[in-house]
Amino acid sequence: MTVRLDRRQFLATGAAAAAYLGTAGFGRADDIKLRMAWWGGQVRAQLTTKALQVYTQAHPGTSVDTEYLGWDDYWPRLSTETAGGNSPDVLQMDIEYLADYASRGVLLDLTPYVPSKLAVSDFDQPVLDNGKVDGKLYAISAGVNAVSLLYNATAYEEAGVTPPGHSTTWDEFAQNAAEFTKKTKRPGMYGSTDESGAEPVLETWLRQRGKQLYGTDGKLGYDESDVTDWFKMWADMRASGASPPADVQALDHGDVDTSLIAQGRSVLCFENSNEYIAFAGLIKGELAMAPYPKVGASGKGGLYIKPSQFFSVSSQSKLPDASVALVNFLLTDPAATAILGTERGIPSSAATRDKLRPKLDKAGALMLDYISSLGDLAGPLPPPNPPGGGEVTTALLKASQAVAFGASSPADSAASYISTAKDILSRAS
Amino acid sequence: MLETAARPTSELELGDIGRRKNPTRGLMTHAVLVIGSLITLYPLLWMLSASFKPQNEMFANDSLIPSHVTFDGYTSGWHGLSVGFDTFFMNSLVISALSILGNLIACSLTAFAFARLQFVGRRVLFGIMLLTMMLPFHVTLIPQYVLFFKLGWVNTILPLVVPKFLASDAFFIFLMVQFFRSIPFEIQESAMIDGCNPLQIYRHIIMPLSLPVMATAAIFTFIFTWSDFFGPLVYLSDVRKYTVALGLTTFVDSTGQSNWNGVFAMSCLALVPVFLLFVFFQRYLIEGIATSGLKR
Amino acid sequence: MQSLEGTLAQRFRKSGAGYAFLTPWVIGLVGLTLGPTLVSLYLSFTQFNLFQPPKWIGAANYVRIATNDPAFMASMGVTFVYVLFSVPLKLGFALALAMLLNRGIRGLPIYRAIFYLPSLLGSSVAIAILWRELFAGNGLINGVLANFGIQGPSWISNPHYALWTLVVLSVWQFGSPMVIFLAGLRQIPTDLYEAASIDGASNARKFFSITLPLLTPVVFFNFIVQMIDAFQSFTPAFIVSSGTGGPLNSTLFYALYIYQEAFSFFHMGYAAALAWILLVLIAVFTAIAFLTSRFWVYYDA
Repeated sequence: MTVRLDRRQFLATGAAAAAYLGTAGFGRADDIKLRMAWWGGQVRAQLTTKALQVYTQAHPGTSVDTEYLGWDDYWPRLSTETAGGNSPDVLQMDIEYLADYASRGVLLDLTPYVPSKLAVSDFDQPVLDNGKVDGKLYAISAGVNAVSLLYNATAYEEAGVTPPGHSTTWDEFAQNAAEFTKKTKRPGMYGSTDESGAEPVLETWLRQRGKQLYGTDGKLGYDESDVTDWFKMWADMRASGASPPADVQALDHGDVDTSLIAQGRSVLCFENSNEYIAFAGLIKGELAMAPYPKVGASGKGGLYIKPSQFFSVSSQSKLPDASVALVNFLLTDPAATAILGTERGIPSSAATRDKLRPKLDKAGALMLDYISSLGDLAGPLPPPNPPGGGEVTTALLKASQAVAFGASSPADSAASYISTAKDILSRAS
Repeated sequence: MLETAARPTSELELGDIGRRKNPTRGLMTHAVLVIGSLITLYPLLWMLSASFKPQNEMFANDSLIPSHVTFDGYTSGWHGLSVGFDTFFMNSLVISALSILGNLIACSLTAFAFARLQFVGRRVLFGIMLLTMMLPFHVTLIPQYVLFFKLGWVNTILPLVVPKFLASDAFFIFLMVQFFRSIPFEIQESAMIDGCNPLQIYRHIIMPLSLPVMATAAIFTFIFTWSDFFGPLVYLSDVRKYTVALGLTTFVDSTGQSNWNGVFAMSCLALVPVFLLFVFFQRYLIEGIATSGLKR
Repeated sequence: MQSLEGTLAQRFRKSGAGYAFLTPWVIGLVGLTLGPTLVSLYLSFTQFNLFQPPKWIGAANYVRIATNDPAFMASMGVTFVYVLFSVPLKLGFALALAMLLNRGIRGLPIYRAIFYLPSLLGSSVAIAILWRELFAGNGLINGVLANFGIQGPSWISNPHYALWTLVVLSVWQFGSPMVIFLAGLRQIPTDLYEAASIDGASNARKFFSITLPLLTPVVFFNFIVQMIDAFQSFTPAFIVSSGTGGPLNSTLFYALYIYQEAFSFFHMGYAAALAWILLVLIAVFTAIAFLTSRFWVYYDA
């Protein structure tokens, strides 16, 4: 019984789809139903819904069904839906997964829509390029950020230690951190976290030494000796008390709530600048921002201004033109950008930034000013991560934990990490 | 002694003997139970207190007492998203209620067949039924999603509820089989001699005697479906259709701001229906059935 | 029980009632379960990144599992330890408390509800945070231990101890099997106890000669179900480790490993192979349990 229904339903669905596809070309102005999915918390949900209401009121006959979730749950659902052929029309995308999705043909190529349907010509070019895979544009930046040190300025004052600034070197950083751990009266608080397993910090450090995470050929842009030096640097910081021991650091799972700064175990964290608001609410003290430490006093900053997230359109969408129009609205229409503000990051268009600056609150202004203050600490954007990049990120964390927990020496762990990473990349391509 | 009149026999017998012979035993028992309860309850008390704490105390302050009580969690949680939590509660209730109905009917029919009827291939089919419990669901997820998509059931509650009416929960079939098998066969035998057909045996003998296991099954179904997360995650994409479990995770975004007050407040609220249901159905567990009465 | 005698044809005719009752289940099996299950078996012989058609690669996935996957070995070890310790402990507590609560204690319904509450919570974000608050280096457990002069490690973030916090989490939720034990205790005919009392039997004697034997079908059920559930356990590890299985793979439950391969790394074919290995493993253990059950499980039939 179920089998018969299956076939009949399938045929019915197929017929309906064919009929729809046939008429889609005529662009029916009535009953356009779009689906949009994004990840984020309550604030983003409220702002985005508000912006979408402006759109639907301006375009009667169009409605947008929203599907939003937290980051962890967004991806399993998106990949399941996409695998099943039921991807949402407009979706939020991240650099971590962009190559995986784009290279497998499930994102719509947006290149033909620029600039007539996607008015992004005044977006910062490097940032636009970051949304390209194999030369084609698959994702448009919804906001930029840069890596930053978020630190508890109040705690530094209490302890009488200099906080990090725009020209701090790694050596100075390590020294100050060890000093902080000794001097602070806040129980169990360290002057730094242990970032030996964090890919963004490794990436910045590599760039300061003239290397990078991935080359344009999709292969690793660094080698064993780099990783050995990296692991050794952090081992020294653990020994001096600048960074916490392995079992304290392992409490941090990379989420806001598990972060050591939120738990009061560290005075700072290495984060993306647009996460300022999330952290500011959770600490006891005033939160301030500074760039990552540098390798040498006159050395490169190693940072870069990057899209915090993108908007993409699904290649499975039956309404590509309407979907692109919606994306265009959200990113370039003054009404939308005023509502969405800096919640997804600093707007990539200089014009939008200027319009927004006077209206921003203290936190928003701080983030925007931080990006502007970087100057030439920020360099060119790196090549995109190849497929399998996410798995390599996990491998780095595990390798660093092996060193931190004393299961392996820096050199051994570095060697096994590099060979694992190469294996992952070849498996994924 | 006053309480004994209201309670079923088995409790009376054992409890009385215990009390009469050894009063300290009763005290010891109570002590153990109280300590056990405190240990069991502590994490939940923490959650309750967290729902009243201000955000920046969430993870830094260990004590059970908030520095100042705030109801923000409850208000922001309830109205927080574009859809209110009352919608989520309603959605969850509908799904859970339908699931209970489906499970009780379908699983009891199936269990009756396995436990009390003879048919060719019974052992093989029973084995297959058990096997369906053993395959990790992440792997059948994608093929099942495609199947439901082709049926047009995606973004409805059908993929979550219809399987219950088709006895997909082998756990309950197995549970009921074990219980049915421990009902004395003589009862069924005498009914069969009197000329009852299987359906009558099912309706008039097995089911009435199985109230404890049916109550258990109802409670468990409710709990499993109430907190079921992955099914709704994949099949209920529109926010307006979310269940409570799904709505809760929407408060937590590991990459940005989360509403911790809201999560704890709503988690506490989410516990209330489940707890109430448990308390309500508990009575059927208490009453039990004195099978000795039915034998004569 | 009546037995099916006669020729195959006669036996099929007598099976009518049985098959009729099984109809819903069979429909569900064939319509909803069988297809996807067979597809997943097929996928285990392919390389499938979810978005492009699967590519047949023969037994390569299985070969890799057997020869070149340290994470597989780690997660097997972790899962086995988890099953070995959490199942007996959980059942032990469940039975002990069910017995205790079945004794006509004052306030029985309240106690029963209290002990059941942890199971009601299921596994949620709230639990993850709770467990961290309890078991972190400066958490409550260590606070209590400090009163006895013991300096505890950070249980939840230390690779030697992290798994045990998950065992504790599982045992804390003993309410589910406890309720089932209670229902089972309810169904033991009371006249048996009356008769034994008249004969002057002690409480211990009653337990071992009446309660335990008649409870064996329920014990068996709880054992099988908890064992299968423990092998497939996913959510506790997922939320407590934030999906990482760390630190150092010490909480990488097998089901979590499958999930990572399928959804985080886009190796769906490999995940399918892993899943089928788990299925076979569980089936073997369950079969052993069933075969040995005739020696200790007592059905009144």
